[in-house]
Amino acid sequence: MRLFGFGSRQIAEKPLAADPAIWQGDAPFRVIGGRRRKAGIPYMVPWDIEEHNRLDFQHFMLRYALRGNYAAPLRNPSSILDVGSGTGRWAIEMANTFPGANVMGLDVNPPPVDSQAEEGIDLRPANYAFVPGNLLEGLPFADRTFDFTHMRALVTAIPHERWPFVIGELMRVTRPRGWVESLEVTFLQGGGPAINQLMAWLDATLATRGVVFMNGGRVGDVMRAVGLGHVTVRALAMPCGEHGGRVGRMLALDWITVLRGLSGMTIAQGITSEADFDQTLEAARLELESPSLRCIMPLYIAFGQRTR
Amino acid sequence: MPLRVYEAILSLPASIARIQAAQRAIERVGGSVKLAPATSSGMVLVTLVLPDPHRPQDFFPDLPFYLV
Repeated sequence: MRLFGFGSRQIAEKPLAADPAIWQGDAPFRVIGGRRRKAGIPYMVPWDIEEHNRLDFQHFMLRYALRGNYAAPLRNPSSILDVGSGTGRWAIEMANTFPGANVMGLDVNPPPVDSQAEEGIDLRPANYAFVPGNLLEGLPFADRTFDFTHMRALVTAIPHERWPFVIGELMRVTRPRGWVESLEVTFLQGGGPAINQLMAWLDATLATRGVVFMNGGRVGDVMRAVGLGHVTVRALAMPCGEHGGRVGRMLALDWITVLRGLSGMTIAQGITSEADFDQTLEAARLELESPSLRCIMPLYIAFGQRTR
Repeated sequence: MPLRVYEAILSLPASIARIQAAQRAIERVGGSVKLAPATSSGMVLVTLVLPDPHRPQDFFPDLPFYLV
C-alpha cells in the first residue's frame, strides 16, 4: 500500500555488531552504550529505571502543558486502549478519569506497576489491565473493540513503511463512532549549532532502523488515508529551553535525557564518537539555558473518528 | 555469501505458526530460524539468519523483523 509516499521510500538499514541478546529474568535485552534496550524491536530508546523516570516525567510535563490527557471529543467511553503504554501512567490516569471504562495498556514490555504489584504494592485501578504485544506485528484484539484508541510518542518505534499498517490497526480495533488519537513530535527547530548537530545525528541514527522522525508530523495524513473521518490536527510549537519558562525547562531536560539515552546507538553505528557526542550534548545544554535562544519543539496532536 | 541476523519479538500464535511453517524453506536457502522460549508475558524472540540476498520479507512480508 502506498499512502503519501509511505512504503515507497528506500532506507538502507545498517546492522549493529550482532551480539546475542542477553536475558534478564525471562526477557531478552541488548546492552548498547551501557544502557539496556529491548531485543526484537527497532525501538532504540533504552528500557531501564532511568527511562521509566523519563517517561513518567514526560507524561506529567505533557499533561501540564496540554492541560489534559486527550484531545478527542470523548463521551463516556466504555473501553480505552493505550498502544505503547510504557510505564502505564497515561492508561492508569484514564482508568481513574473514566471509572466506568475498561482501560488496557499494550506494550512489548510489562510496565513497572505490574512488577510492583507482584511485590505487594498494587497501584493499578481495578478497571486497568496490561496486555503484552508488539504493535508492529498487529494488535491482539478483535475488530471494533475500543471506543478510544490512543498512541503517544512512538515515532521512534515505527519504521517509515509501517505507518499505514499501524494506523490501520488502530482503526481496526476502534468501534464505529469511536476515536483514534496520536501525539507525536518532530525535530527541535530554531536551535543553535549544537542542537542542530544533535538533530542531524538523531536523524541518521533512526534511519539505520528505517525510522523517519519527520513522520511525527504526518500522522493526520495517514489517518485520512486509511479511512478515518473528521480528522483534526493541532500543531503546537512548544518553547524548549529557558525562553519557555517552566515548561520550556522541563522540555529541555526531557530532550537532553532522551538524546543521552540514544547516544549509545549513535556511537555504536559509527555516526560520531563518544567524545564528540558528549561535547555537543553539553554545548546543546548551554544553548537551551540561553534566554535568547528561541528553540521550539513541534508537537502534533491528531485525532480521527471511525465512521463505519 | 554473508549471513545477516534479523530479530523480531512476536506474540500472536498465527505469527509463530507461520515462522515454524517456513523453517524448512529458510533452511533450503542456507538460513536458520530460532525461537526463544516465551517470556512470562508470552512474547517470543525470533532470530532469523539469512544469507544475502535473501531478506525476511521474502518469507514474512508483514512481520516486523529488523537487522540486528
